Amino acid sequence: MTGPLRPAFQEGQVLAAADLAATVAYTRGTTGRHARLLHDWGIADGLELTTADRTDPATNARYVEVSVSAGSAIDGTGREIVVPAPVVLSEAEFAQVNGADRASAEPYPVFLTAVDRARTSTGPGSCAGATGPTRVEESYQILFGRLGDERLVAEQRPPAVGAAPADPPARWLVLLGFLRWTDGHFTAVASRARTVGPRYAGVRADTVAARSGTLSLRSRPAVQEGQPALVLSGEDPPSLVYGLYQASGSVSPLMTVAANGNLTIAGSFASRISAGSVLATSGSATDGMLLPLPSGVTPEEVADGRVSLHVYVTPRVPPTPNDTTLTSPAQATVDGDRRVRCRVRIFDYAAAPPQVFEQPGAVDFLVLATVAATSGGGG
Amino acid sequence: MTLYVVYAPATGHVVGAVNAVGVTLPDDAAAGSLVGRELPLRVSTGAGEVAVLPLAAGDLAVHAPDDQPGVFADPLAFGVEQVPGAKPRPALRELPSWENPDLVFSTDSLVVTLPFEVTVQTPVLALVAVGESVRVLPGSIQPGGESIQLGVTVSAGSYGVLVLVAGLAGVLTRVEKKA
Repeated sequence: MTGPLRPAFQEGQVLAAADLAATVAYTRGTTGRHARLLHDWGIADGLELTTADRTDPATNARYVEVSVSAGSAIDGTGREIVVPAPVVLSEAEFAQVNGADRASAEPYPVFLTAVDRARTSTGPGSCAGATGPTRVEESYQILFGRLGDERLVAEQRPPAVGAAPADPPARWLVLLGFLRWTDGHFTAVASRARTVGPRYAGVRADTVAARSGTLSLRSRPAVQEGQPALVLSGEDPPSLVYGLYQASGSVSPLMTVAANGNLTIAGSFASRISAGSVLATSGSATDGMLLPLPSGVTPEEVADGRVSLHVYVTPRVPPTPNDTTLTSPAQATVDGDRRVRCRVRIFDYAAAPPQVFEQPGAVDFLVLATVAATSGGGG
Repeated sequence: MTLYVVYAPATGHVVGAVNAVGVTLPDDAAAGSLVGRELPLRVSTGAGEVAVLPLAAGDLAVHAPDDQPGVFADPLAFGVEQVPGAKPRPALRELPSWENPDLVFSTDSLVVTLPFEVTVQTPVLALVAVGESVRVLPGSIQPGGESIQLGVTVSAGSYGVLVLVAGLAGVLTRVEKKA
């Protein structure tokens, strides 16, 4: 199999249509391979399903007119599909595909695919007379799918590495979204159904380099307040910042890694306990309460033995209510469920007869959580 | 160090408290994370005898109030001021103490008598440990009233009783039923 053929021309060469076509084909092949191999196929811009409220004059029923916004996509063959202006979806064409279905609340998929349309040049005609169209419009077609056809998207296979973009009618489906259909009208749109949604164009790169010295990754095409961003800054001092966009367009840091390795976070920190480590918490608890676990330790880790607990409790002796009473701890323990059991005995020797009674108490505690080095707790 | 209290929303009484270094609960933490399935309150009913009065975790709520060291000495002496449709007020309310509470078993009820007449409808929740079982006795005292009879029949003996009257310190005590 030969590689891509680049046309070469000689002085005085008579150029045939095939030579000119080869020039175009070479460029198309190069562009297609770039799009196919350096990018993940999908919607690049626009192509959203939008709705406008309408009322059926015959039935007074409310429905929506659905349009596909202008935009572009790269299909899996590397071909660019451009929708230059918004297009209203045809209910008649939808009905031809799905109109005979029983009424269903499930949304139907709608796709975009590439289509070639022959166009006649508006320039001077051929010296040899008109033999056919001299332009091809790389156009598009909206296709309405049947319920479940969205699964076809994942089953499509790209062409071989050296292949040029496939010419229609080779069909590649780009899912735009889903339509709800009720009584002969579109009634709503949905971006996802049955766990499938539109696929958006991506990039394949082992290196992404910024010219400005700052590289930003964000989750939306445009800067949007409250949306997350990751900013790698080469300014002095360098830093890596994860944060949320503010209204001003700047990123409010939630996590910052400084050039010296210092990590600053705005929230709390949680991680697996490494083997051999000891985590601790201390505080106070009243009778009947469960002792809390140190941050990062889960009850499951304690229950299955990955983490051992060492608990120390000291009873809190309450102040004596008067000068004729003595107070002493009667119980200060923790059971297997980490439940505090603390009681205080009070002896009132001035009462007649002298009284002894008990009341719930509280403890101060220290909980140590340890992971044995041999338990595979991670390192 | 954040203080967390577990309280009975029916009356607002704090029934348990814990604080710990570095431990933070989510805002919507359930009481079960602090008490398990239930919070067992225990009261001495005689020499070596202890009655257990369990409050189900589903009937309790969690609040992270401002620091209040006194809550560890006597949690029932504090209340959570609840706000309809919002979080409770941050400060715990120190409830008026109830000295020598008037709790009496009649033939077929536990009679709770307050030291004053109430001016608003006042929720009451009582638990009585009868053998291995526990009787949960909810009720309310109408404005102008000062007592309530909570239906329970017990034989002569000593019983562990928890009485929570909204606005008064809770009482966890032993009550004798005379023969």
